[in-house]
Amino acid sequence: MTDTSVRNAAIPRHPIEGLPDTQDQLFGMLTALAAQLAVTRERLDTVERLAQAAGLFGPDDVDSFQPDGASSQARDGIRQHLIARIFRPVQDASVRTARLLRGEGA
Amino acid sequence: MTHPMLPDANHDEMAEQLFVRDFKTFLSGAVETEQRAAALTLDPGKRHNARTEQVFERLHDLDSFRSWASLRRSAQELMWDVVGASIGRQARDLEDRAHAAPALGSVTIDPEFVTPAHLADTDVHLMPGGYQGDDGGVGQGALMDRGGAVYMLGRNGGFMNDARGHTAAAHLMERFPDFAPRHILELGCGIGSSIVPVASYYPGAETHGIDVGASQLRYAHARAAHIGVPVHLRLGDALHAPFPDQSFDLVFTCVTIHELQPGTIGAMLDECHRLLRPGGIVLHLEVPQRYEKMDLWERIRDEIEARYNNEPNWKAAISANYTTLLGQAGFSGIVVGYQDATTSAQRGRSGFGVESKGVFRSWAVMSAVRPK
Repeated sequence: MTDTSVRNAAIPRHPIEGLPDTQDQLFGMLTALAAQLAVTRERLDTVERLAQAAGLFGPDDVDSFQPDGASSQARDGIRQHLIARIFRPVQDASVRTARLLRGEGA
Repeated sequence: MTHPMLPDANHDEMAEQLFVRDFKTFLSGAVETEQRAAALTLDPGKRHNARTEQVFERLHDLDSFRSWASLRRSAQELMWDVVGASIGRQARDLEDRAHAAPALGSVTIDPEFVTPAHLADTDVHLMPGGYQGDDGGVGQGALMDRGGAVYMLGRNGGFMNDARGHTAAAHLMERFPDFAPRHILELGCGIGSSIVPVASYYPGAETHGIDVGASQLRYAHARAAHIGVPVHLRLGDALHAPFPDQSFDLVFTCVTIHELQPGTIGAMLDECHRLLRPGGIVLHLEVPQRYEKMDLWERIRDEIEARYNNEPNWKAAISANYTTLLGQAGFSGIVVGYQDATTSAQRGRSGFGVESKGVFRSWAVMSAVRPK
């Protein structure tokens, strides 16, 4: 009997010669991330066009939007939080390296 | 054009599938042009006895090639991932739709069927589970159908994905305008995108199809019944079809030869001869490329497809001499050439020639008669 069970990843998967597996994984993650970004952009576009069709606001209103002081501050917070979260591994690695070089152990 | 079994895509799923389409187009456009340019600088010359293999190997020394190859595979893996997730979301609905199909044709699943070894251990095109994967219902067939339409980038008859079947019929209707088969068989019918158009041009015939995947066949049967075309489908190997000698007036395949185990094309043609009645017609449709006409980059691309997209059997299929092989199998009236791609075959209309007009514009066709 043949194994006909459904798999969630194809076999075989040959390594790309000379490419470290971690890099291959990163390219895979990057591709998936770009797809998610494309979906988000398209969804925002849909929202803007539906809002315009409903007589609320459209893409031009979004383009010409000027945040006031409080809004700018809130948005700065959102952006800086996002940077800190995404790039935390780099920060952590820097901390570990500095500690190691100072002889404090990893 | 679409059909009731086709999995749908909600807003975000459609955006994901369009991303895959456009990302693949990006990678195969200007980026690939530069890969080709790099490869040509590594050419050891036409007289080198392992020219393609050597350049393919040396390309792997280049960061840009490795990155491109990795992204190319990532796009293919993402395609199956997003289409698979979309089908998972609507799995129950797809099963309900399959059960609601009109009572037309039949599907027979032999639980003892053994998948040919070369397909059992390779998921062609990186489709997880491969052709034989069976979720117990129509899921794997739905994955093949929706994924295939995205994979073809809409160039093979849109969401019907059926241009090959129409083109095969166009060849028959041009070459044999009075042909009125009573029994038809397709080897490797998959989700039925070719058998449905062929059967619809010959409504007086009883049309059968075999394939190696139970889920593909359940899906194909429901798909065909919803379209209104009766087809009789069962599990079977193209080299050992489960039918007595001389059962059919027409035996055909559409892009099945390049999925055969290399070295078995002759055996498959012998099987077609066995299955045909004297006077019966054999017809095969294949990809229009020919290995001897491919330039260096096209041959390297073939290596990339074989190695990183699990498509290992192209080279054998596009290198074979079909005139010789059909003759050795006992056929006469052998014709080998190219048929213009169409989605609407008409009797007597010409579209056959000895030159390919290019990928998706022509399909390679070969037809012959079992002597009386």
